Amino acid sequence: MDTFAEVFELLAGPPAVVGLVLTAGAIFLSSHWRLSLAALLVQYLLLAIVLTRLVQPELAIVRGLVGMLVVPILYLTARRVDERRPWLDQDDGGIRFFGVRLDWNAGALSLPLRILALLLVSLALIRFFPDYTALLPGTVTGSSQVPPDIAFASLWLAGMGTAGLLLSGDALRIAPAALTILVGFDLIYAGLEPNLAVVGFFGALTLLVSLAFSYLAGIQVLSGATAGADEEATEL
Amino acid sequence: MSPIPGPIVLLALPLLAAVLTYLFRHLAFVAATLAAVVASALAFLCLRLPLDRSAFVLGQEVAFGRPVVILGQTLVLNPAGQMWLAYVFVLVAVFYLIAWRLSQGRSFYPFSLAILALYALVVLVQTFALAVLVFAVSVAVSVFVLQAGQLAPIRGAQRYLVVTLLAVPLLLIAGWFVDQATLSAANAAALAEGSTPITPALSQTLARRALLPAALGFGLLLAVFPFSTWMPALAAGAPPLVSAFVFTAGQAVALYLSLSFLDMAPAFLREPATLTVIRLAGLGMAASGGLMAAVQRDFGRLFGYAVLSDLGILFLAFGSAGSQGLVLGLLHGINRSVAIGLMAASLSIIRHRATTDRFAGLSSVAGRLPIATGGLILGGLALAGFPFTSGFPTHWAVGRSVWNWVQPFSPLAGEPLPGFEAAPGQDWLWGFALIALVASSVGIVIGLLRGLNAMLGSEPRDDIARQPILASVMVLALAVFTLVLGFYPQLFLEPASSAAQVFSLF
Repeated sequence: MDTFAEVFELLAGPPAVVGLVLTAGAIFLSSHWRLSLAALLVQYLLLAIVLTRLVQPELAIVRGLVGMLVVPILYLTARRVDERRPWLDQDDGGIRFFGVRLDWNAGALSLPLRILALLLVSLALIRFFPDYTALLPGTVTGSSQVPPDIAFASLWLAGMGTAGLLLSGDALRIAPAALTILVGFDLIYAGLEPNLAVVGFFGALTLLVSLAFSYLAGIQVLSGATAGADEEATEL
Repeated sequence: MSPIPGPIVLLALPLLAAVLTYLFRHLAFVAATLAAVVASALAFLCLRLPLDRSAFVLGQEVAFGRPVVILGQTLVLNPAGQMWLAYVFVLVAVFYLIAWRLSQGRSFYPFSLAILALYALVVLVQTFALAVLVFAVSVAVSVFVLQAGQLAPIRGAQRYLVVTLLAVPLLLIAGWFVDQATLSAANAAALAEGSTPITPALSQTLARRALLPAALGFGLLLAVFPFSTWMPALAAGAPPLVSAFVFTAGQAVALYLSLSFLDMAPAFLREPATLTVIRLAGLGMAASGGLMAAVQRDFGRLFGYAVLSDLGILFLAFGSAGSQGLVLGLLHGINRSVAIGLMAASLSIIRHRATTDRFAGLSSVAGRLPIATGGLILGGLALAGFPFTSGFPTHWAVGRSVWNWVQPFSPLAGEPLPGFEAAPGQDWLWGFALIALVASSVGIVIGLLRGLNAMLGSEPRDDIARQPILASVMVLALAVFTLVLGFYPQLFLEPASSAAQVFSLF
């Protein structure tokens, strides 16, 4: 048992935090729903693991379970959407990696721009990380200081999620981005708020949000429209 | 038998009605009547029942102000919440009646009743964090009503959801800071003076830390410029009465949350920057909404921008009218609801009959649907603050108070007021306020005139059915009420004053 505990403790440290950083990056970069939803699922698991450092394991498991419910909701919708939008998977001769188009012709808001955005966001996060840690609640009260690795992961998740929201118009891409922001916030807030009702409502909100995005994605594909930057640009 | 606690009534009745209206959703008359009766009954209870003692309702003893503990959370109705819920229930009851003749989607009744229960919960819970989360849950539920199963663009509903989600973390953190500041202050009071010299300073630091996330969070939640793009998008895509539901009831609950927060942390209003930020946000919204309204090509977006501009006026009322700011803001909030309801009902008729609200497709519609056209224009004029409409008195009062605020910055001002010195480089404020106030009114009027011009014409439109009688009667009633409020703006002054006194922020 001690060995398991030690291994788990080790996992909950830097490996899980690195995992969170990577999954957020994958969600932001990927245009393929399978990849982004798989990353989201892993992200929720890692959230639960990391949170064992800050809260009781039962509360951390609740977070993981919420993720287990959220991802299937989005997955089922994405499958239905995929059936209705077969042209998305058509082979157009472009270079692909895990279903992600890599060539420069992959669209204005596709991989090349997203890589550039990722680099810019990374630079901004590194620049503003010291200011961010100074703003964190623990630094003011002197109690329950947020570990720096978790603080960085939360900022990274929030940054990636926000960038994803700004660059996406598709409901199925917005949903993982929005949920990434909530995961990033949960990393900080879970240790601050012991109220079980708040934890419960936060979980309920996450579930309802995924349902709402699923509903919107369904409507979006049935109407054959893509809301967001591209459509707006056409209107203007 | 012990009396029924008020919170149980406020939560259970709308939820029960939601289930019933879902079962009867195919029978519009039954669903609308049931929903309207329940909303009216709840409004009646909120308006009539005392909070300090129990009363008998249909032979059953009800203790409206009695707290209830559910899952460790105390739910209790306070006087401010009572007024707020009465306003929301009355408003929604009217919307239900209109929706009976102008379908807003079958999901409107059950989902909006469930949302009403969530709004009641927002008012009843004593924990700010929980109230914020419940409100966000209500927004997530409202997405289903906003889309109403239509294959319409999802942008408005999606943006509304995203903006609210972004506000949640900011508000939760701000609430945590304020809670800690309160705890810290309480500790400082409990301990002997001088023994913890750092604690009051810590309390102030914590409260100051809450300022930025609170400003951003409430800015997002209340659609403050530039986070307001969801409003016109929503008005363009969602059924008009559902948009009106969000613009009035939804934003009223968001406003309640904001005022509750300020009540928790009154020091924020003592910060000189707070009122300036509220005023500038209001001016920005009034100007941008008015200017954008002038150049729209459909009534849906015009409606959205007009409401946005008017929301800016509401902010200006809070920020510029001194000690009477809250009363003026609340009075304006009530009066604008009538104008929004009128415009939404009229727009519903036009969309039902003409199947579009784009100016290009509405040629000669004014002659075919005169009451709806008149209602639409009158509602828009009221939102623009046109004389003899419900919007005029409060627009006028806000305009005067803003003018008093910016007058010292004016290059035309003579001697500076005693004790006042305009800081150098702030001359732009005078010009900005002038442009914003003019644009908020003139921009909307120009947009309406463009729309009206497109709707005129003499060629017959036999493809459009005649105006619906009952719905037109309802529009006429709202139009008359809009004019009555223009002549008797003090009609709702007493409830607005009572609600403001409970908060006593300014």
